[in-house]
Amino acid sequence: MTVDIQPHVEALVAALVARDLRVYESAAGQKVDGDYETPVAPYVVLYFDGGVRSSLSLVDDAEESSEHDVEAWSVGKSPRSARSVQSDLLALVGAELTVAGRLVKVRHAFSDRVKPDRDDPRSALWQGRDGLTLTSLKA
Amino acid sequence: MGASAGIRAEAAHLRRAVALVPLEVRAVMRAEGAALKRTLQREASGVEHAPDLPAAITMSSGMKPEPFYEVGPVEGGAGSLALLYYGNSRTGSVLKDPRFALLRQAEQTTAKLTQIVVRLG
Repeated sequence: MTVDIQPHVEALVAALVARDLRVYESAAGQKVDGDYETPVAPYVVLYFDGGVRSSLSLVDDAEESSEHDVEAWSVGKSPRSARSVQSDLLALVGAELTVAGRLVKVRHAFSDRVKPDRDDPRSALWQGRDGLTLTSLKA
Repeated sequence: MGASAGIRAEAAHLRRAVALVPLEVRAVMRAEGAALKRTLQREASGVEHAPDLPAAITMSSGMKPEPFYEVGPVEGGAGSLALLYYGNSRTGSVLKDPRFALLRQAEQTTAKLTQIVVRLG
């Protein structure tokens, strides 16, 4: 048996959207429904399985329990804006997500402070990175 | 058993613990470090333009100044490819952040060290 992590992805996105956050997945501007838009800060970009894009697998081998790592980038046009996004994101730590047949909890792994986007200084964006782990148990 | 016999037994127990705890802790740190190294090597494999990165991930462990293990790419070698762990918000990182694996391993290490203390303490 395998655990499909797509419902976990959708549950985390829903929890963030409920906090009025704009959420992208797997790339800035990539909407959860697969459409693309020019990203407008502030927003969160989620990379499941800790950001590994080339070999992203949406299934896990564990049926009873599984853990899914998420790298989340909080982006804003100012340090304050990015920190506000990061704060809203981290408010989910300890929360339970609604996934049918599973008990899913959000755990904090690590946080990097908000810094300017040095890879593209012209963007004038600020970004912070957080690691979250979704622990998922069979209900 | 009298009070003095009890004290002697306790002293003998502590002497045994003082002798055994460092040996067992050292073994745990070595094994846990090796496990973390294997995890990071597995996660670093398969990157087309960094085929040497897994082999560049090494581990050292020891007891001074306190029990430790240290795992990561060798500085200056293929380790310069450690930037693959960083990434940015637009594309994410190429490799999974090693802190995920470190935290999992640290939880296991703590549990094993606690077992030693409970058993010998």
